[in-house]
Amino acid sequence: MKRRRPGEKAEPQSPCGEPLSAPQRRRLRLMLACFLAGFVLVVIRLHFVHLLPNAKLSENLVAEKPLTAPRGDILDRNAKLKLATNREVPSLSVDPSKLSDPRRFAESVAPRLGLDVDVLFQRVSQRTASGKPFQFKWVKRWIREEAQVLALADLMIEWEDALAVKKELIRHYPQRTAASHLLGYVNRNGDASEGLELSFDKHLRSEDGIYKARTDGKRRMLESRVLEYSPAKAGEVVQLTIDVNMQQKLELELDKRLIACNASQGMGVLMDPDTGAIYALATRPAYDPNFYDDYPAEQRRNKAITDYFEPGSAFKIVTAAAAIEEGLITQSTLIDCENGSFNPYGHRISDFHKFGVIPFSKCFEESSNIAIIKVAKMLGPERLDQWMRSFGFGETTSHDFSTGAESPGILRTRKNWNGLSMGSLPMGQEIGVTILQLARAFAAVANGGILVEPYFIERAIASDNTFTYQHTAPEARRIMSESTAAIMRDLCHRVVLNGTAKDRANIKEYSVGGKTGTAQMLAKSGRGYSKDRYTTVFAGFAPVSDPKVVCAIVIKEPMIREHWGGFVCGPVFRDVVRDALIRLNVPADQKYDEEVGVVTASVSEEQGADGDTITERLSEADILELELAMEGQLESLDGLELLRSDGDVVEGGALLPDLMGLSKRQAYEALSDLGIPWDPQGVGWVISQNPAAGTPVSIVQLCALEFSRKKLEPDDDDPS
Amino acid sequence: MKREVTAVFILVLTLVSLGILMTFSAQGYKSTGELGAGEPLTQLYALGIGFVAMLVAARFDYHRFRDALVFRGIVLASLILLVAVLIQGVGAEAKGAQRWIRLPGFQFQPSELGKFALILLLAVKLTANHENLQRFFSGFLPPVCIAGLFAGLVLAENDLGVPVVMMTVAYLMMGVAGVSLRYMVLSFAPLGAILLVAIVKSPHRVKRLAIFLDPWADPLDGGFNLIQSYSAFAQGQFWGKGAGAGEQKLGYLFASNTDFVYALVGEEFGLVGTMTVLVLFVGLLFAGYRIAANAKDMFGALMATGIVALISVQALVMMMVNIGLLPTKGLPLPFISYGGTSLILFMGLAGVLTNIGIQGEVPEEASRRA
Repeated sequence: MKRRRPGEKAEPQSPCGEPLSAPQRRRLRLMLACFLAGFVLVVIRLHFVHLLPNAKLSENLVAEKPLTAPRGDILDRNAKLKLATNREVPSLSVDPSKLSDPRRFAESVAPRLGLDVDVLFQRVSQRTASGKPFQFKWVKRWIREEAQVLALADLMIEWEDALAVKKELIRHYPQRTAASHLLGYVNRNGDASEGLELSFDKHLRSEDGIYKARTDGKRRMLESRVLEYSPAKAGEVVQLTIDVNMQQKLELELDKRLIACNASQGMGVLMDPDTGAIYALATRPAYDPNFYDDYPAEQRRNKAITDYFEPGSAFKIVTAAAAIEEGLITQSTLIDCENGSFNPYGHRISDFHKFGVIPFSKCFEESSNIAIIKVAKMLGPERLDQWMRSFGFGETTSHDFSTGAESPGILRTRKNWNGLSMGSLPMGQEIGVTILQLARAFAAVANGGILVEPYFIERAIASDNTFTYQHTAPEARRIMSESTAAIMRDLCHRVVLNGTAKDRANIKEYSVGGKTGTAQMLAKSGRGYSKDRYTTVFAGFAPVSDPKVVCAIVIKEPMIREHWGGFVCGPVFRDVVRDALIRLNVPADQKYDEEVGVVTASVSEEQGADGDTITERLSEADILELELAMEGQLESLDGLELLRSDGDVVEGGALLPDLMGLSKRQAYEALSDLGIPWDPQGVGWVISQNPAAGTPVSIVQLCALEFSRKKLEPDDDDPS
Repeated sequence: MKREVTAVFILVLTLVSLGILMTFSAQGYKSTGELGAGEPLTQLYALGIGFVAMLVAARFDYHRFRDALVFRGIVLASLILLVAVLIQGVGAEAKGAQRWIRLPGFQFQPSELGKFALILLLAVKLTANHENLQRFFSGFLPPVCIAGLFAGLVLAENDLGVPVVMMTVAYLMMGVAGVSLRYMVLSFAPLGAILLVAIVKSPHRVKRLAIFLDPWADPLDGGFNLIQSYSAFAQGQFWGKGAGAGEQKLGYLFASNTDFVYALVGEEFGLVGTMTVLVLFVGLLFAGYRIAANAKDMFGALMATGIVALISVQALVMMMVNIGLLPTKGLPLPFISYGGTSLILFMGLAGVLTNIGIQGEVPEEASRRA
């Protein structure tokens, strides 16, 4: 550093002058004091602005943004096909205040979006109360037609200033009408309406999240100043038990049949008898939830759960099962069918076919009203009432429908029965049942006596793959013994083989059991029954030996001559159940020949005995035991005795026919006509019988038949 | 080395470090560019040049500024630039004022150089004329005219803050040199009149004055920035939000890296931060005072007075503007505010100050103690 030595100092007249004089230093100090005073002022003020802020100061801007997530998808039973999902669709809006020529706008835009020119013109030329044009009007919301979506691009160029497109995530039902009544729909406001969408909304709906942050001066949200953040939670995925393919098949067949039978309404259910899982549940006519408001509310109603109907003869399984379980009858008990006309409760009951004294199995096959009323009489009203309730009639079946949506049907309490009830209820009149109740009753027969809970919601899966809902079967509710159920299955099988459903509900590859029903509908006037409006029903299951599906079909108001359950509903049942069993990989249990009927029962070959055999053996075991018990019952029948004169008919000397060479079906028919239980062995045609032909029927307890396929040509295997 | 010289170095280094920190903090917000700020890197380059300027000035014998060629050159150059900036096409406009000269690669404010030229010229003239300072025509009038010329030229740029600072610094130097206080006090009347005219003639200055009196009268427009400045201090409270954590710079407080950087300091470092900055400037004031008081000669003393007055006036006015004690004036905080010319000038001035200090006499008290 440059330093002057003391010697060099002091040049008196330096051009730079002397160091500051005392007065100058004083002034310098004065300056210093002024500055310090200024700084002190700042210090004081700093305390105020920092620590005692003005009350008028407001917080900086905070902005909130709702975060949304999609609603949960609805999947079918295989979790492959979506029944409901979400889809982004454009909506077009316009700022009418920016349109110089609304007429030209309407004429240009309306045709390309499938709108009415005048309606659109009206909308865009509308004025506010103060006479100004509106600044926002929808042109069209939810544009979903492909051509219209494509036209949007051109429109946007043409009317760039006025038009705006908003993309919205809307509910989309890719399977269109499939299971639409079950699913319900989500309306334009995003509210779940009806069906599963509504009842399971708490699982399906997404939870909005929130993103709250400070903003900068331009109101842009600052990621570094997030005050509150909770991510939106996507709705849970719901997996149903519905099989889309079965559902579509059911709907298709119902639709075809409605047209063929000129009927007004139809519904059907396809269910797993062991678990109650509903594979398909359809109500016709259909509606497309994607365009829900194109349909009247009536058509959107899920009639399969809200409507009840008189089941007619299909309801006879209740009385039949009850009487068998209670040990009152066996399927071979002989009953006098009064030649088709009977007058027990001051009301004429008639049968379609006239029969004399025939075994109960035959009565059931031919759906004899007289027989079932006689059996119900044996049962008595208390037990009948109890049995109808234990079969689940008069109560809702499932938890999966929203509260109150499912009808419990109509089953009057015992004390409200009238004098005719005992003549009406057993044959399915004076009672309202839902199709689910009916299907479940048949499921109980099919699964060996357990009343299951029908359900269609398998599980709900959260985004982290945990199950937030999983269907659990309720505790098994046994309503009849395995053996009774087996007898009932056999009875139902006969209905299809020989009875009212013969040649209607049969499936080539599978043995089928079921029961038809035909009931007159209540007259529109509300008084009495209509003469020409019927409810036709078929409910059944297959394969008989170990049913994998139970199915109930109801078609209302078929306007054809053959308005019988078997004729109208049987074919739907046949096609739907066959399709379902194949889809479920159920092995065929019989072979069928057009001419000879059931040719083989593959199940019997594998197991050494077919379903019939097992049924027969079970019932045989019961017979002796039951016969004794029946003695007492018969006495109290009081004009309603099963047989008017015990043994009259059989004593006539009916002899066991020669069954040799008959097919299994033929032999079975012949024996069951006589009310003789059988013990079939093998498959094919009868090669030996025991007792021999000519034995009086009255002494035959059991007819053992041996079958052989000897006659069978390999080429004849396939009936078609 | 003398304590005050060391102090000046340390204080300046502390202040420029804080300045770079604040520049980068304000710049962290992407949109600052739209709000009138440049690249923070430019400030780093300016800092580099500033260091060089400071070190060179510290080793450059201040007496050589008195060489006719040197000071005339500087004065002439700055006057030319001050005139040039007024010519359309040479000067660039910013916020309604014509302050910049843009050259390829850089731009600078002639008014900054003008401040130095004025201090230098006044120091030379007052020293040369120190025997006549009590007189009016030969003593009072010449320095007033010189200051008036510079201030007037800057005022013509439509900038009121710098002329006020220049006149204040000039009067302080005149006062310390020994110009008659009577004339100076009497001259406040015409000067005040000029200031009043300058304010009244410009509607935005009237508005600023009104806003200064009640910013909430127009909270969304005129009063906006002062309110945002208050908000910054209020949010800073005692300890501050932390470096870089200020929100007011995010599009609320304008000029948060230049004219309102003190508010940004207040928000991010609280009362502790603003007091620290203030104490650093007070420290600089004391060091400058001692250097002036102990300067080897009157020229050095006046130079030191001018420099310390400039730094202190500008710092004080800027702080007062930020805390609402003065109407809004576009003045940067020395060493801290963003702006290369200002940074280089002040670091250069600090270098000159240290050179005066190095050459100054050993303080009497210190030598007595020694």
